[in-house]
Amino acid sequence: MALVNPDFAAELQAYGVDTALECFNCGTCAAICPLNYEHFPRKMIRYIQVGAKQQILQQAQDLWRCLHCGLCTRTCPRQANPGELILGLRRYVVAQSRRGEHV
Amino acid sequence: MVKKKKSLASPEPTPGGKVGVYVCHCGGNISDAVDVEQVCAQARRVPGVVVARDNMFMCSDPGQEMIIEDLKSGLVERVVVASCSPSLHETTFRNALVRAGGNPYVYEHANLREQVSWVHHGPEATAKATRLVAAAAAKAAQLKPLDPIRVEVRPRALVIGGGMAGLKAALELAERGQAVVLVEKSPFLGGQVAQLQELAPGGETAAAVIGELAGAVLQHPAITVYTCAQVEGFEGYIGNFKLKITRTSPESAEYSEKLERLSQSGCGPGEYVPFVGLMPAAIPESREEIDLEAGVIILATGMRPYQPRQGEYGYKDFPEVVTLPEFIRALAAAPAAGDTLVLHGRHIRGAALIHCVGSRQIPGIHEENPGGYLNEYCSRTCCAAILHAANLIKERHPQTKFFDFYRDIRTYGRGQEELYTRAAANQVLFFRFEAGEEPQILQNPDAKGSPLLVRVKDVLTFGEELEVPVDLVVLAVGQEPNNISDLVEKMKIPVGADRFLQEVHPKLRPVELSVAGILLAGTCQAPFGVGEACAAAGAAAVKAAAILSRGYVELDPFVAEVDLSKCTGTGACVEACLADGALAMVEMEVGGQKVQRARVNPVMCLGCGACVAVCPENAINIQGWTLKQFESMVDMIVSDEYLEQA
Amino acid sequence: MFKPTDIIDLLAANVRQTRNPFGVPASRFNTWWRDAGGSTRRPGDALLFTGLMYQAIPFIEATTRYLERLEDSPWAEHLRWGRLVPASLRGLGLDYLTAAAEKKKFNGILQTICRVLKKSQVGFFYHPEMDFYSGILLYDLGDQEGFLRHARFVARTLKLHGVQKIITVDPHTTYALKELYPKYTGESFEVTPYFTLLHLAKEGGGNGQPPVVLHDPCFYGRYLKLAEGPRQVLRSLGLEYVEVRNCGEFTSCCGGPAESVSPALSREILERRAAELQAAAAPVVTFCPICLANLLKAGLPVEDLASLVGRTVNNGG
Repeated sequence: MALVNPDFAAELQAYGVDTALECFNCGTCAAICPLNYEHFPRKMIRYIQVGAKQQILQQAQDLWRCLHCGLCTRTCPRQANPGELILGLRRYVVAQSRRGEHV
Repeated sequence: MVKKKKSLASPEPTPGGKVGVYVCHCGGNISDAVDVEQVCAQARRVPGVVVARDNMFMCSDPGQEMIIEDLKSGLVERVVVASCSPSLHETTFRNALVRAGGNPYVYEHANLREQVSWVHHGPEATAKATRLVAAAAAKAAQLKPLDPIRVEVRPRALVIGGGMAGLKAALELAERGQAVVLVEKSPFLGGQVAQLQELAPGGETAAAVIGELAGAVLQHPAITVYTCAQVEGFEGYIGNFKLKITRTSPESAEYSEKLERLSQSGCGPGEYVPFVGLMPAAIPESREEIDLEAGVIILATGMRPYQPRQGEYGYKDFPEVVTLPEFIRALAAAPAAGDTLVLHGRHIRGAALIHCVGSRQIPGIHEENPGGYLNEYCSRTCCAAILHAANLIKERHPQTKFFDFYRDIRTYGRGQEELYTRAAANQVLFFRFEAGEEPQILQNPDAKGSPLLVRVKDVLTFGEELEVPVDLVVLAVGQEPNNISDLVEKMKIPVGADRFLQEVHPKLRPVELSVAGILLAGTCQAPFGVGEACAAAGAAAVKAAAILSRGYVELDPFVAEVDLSKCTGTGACVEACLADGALAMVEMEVGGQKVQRARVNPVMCLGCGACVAVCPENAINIQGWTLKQFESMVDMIVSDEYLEQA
Repeated sequence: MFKPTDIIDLLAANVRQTRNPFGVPASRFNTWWRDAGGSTRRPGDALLFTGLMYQAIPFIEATTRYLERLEDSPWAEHLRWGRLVPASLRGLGLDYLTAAAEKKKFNGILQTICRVLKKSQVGFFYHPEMDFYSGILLYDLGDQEGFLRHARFVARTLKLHGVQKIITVDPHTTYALKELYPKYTGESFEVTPYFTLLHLAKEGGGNGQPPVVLHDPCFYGRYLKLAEGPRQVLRSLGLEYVEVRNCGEFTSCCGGPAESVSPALSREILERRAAELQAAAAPVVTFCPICLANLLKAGLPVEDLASLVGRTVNNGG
């Protein structure tokens, strides 16, 4: 069970993550992603929306599966920029780990 | 009151003969399964049939012309068309008979599409089609010319209900030159819309729309408005309704809060007061009765918002849980500026919105409402209304966060999808729950945080359980029809399984009831938005005006007819009759003696045939559907004389 | 799968030390220009900027072969200490692991690009001291700090040398210079991929070459929307080509970018794309060093656009 933290999305803006709330969870990105893996990248975007920071950090490895191929960003019907959001999350996780937080 | 029109028939068709059979291919719809030529060939062998023809589309101009020519040349005097369903094209072909100078009732329809080609294939299809056509031809040979029943119309409309739909219908009728009486149960005009402030999706104010409409109604000389009034007596039929209206002082408690608001507002009669409406006249001190005659009635009895049970989403368990109408009322008293919304002195940092409260209830999943029913329908307006409210507040108080819990979002009309887009842009955070897994409202164990916790199994987060701390929960309650069981009982009007009133046809006759002369306007029919309610009211008004301005109505003559040469006055038919006033025993002179005999009031008769079944003398029949005609159909269905030998 | 943060730390340390992710001084593998004929800088000339991608492919290949053996093995854990063991994975060790034939093939592509640019009368020059790695891998992996430090250095150096016009040869470097540098370093250049500058019409005539099938790299096809350029070059040379369903803006990834994190995952995606291309039953042509190396691994008949163009021009001339 996770407590929703609506302030997390604002915290991520420093890492260039600013379109997560545009997403309406349609799943087009997960359908077109060549990884074909566990609702990726939609799941990560949803975690941003609800502020599930722990889930993101626990599943951080998955972020680096992304090929940055851009198909999700090209096909997103809401211009939520899923590919760029994943890059932003990588920046966030790297910064956290450098600050000594467990990743 | 009831006049016989001059007979349309000229000349009287030859008894028993000159039947023309016209078989339609329906562009392959029929002919793909039925051998149409074989059906024609066999139809020609049916006694009385003089010609049988086929056409790709009998309803087309050339198809109809073919029939008209045969009638005009005298080849044919009775017509059978074998095509689609009678509900689709029976009227079309009856009119073709009229254009040929004949009587429209010397016509019989055989349905070869729904009853044959869509459900049967192979030789059985052609065999069944042949027997249906033969039966229709046999009946056609027995048909007699009939005249429609003409009824004069009382030049007045009665509108029941003083909400948006009732006001709109009354005004539209008056502007078409018709006299209108509007009856409203409460002391106020404006209905449920008066309980709102800004209307979704466009943001017009309730004050403006009600003010404009009610103002125009009150000023119109052709409209009489009775508030605190109810319909107590009802009888009659289209064109001739007789009504008793009573005006009484309402039960003191029912409107006390509104009357209190009204007196505090300092507004006078005819002025709009928020959350009250507009009171056009004083409350009557004593009971008044008004007798009224009207040609048409428009029902605009409206809806009420769903009232949640105690404990439903924490309603009444927690003071922070409110319905959307309650929230709108509280909002009107809140400061309009400030980073966060403040309600009753409490800062609202986070608010939960819950959709589908009292709507889309599913048997076996949701608990029945106190009356033992479920609202299985979508109330259609709540999604737009609650998102509109969220946008309004978010744009005024940017620090108040909204958490929107939905089953589905149905912002379906013009300008409504934009509400959803705007809500997303306003950073309203959405959660989706499955039916039966509705969010739970709990006390927040964190005493320093917000008072409530919404717990949800969130579909959008892959079924993970999430908890959201909030200061307020707003329930988007649906629409329920007002309880008008007394009117339903008196007027014998059909009610749908959803308890809303049921129109004749959802697409082709959307504002008519099966009781002729009674029309529907607004949310007594289904959950509507204000615009839709007004559109329906406009349609009902025009329909009513058309009846009133024509001055008379014509009804199909398929009603009971007494054969006085056979009637012995047993009275069995009167006992069996289902329609009040359609049959009566009257005194008349037969063979120099005063006797009791049955008499039909054709306007009241439903043509159901209950009387035919009970008459021991076979002295009563339904015109156009006599026992003899039925017998000839049955005889022909079982006959083999017209079949081609294999 | 490797721990991404370990890889990032390794690469970031390499970039800090050698200004490229391989941990080898660029002078050790950036040698192609020695056999490309001299080029003198004239006023207004554009800088040919390889971003060290084509030359580095043989090194990446060697690294991948090495990593593939370690992934999901107990040794993966030790990768964390990779940056502290310069001789085994980085620097000299890798240099020896790299096959000479591979080096020759990828160097040859750059030399051909030089030759066709000259044939097209394009004014350009090359200087190994002004050719850098773009930093794109650090950006991709989320090491924003490392990327910024490196990109600022590259941009500043180029500006110091008065560089305004840049000709690029691969999509990753093009994307970095065209999109990322202005956004993150504040420095802008006029960046043009080489194939949009070619004017070789009438030189060839197809010469009976069989039709080829095109594989668009993600950055050219989708991000930069430059898929039309190579097609125009082929048409001007009378070369026929066929398209696969997933092409241009909707091209499929070859899996190459996943290599540094998960060679196994990269392989899986590569096989899916290889099947799509194979269905076209024609030799594959691409224009990205990473795609090229990756598709070669799938055993497809594949060559670089530059190689095909160079050969056609030779035969025709």
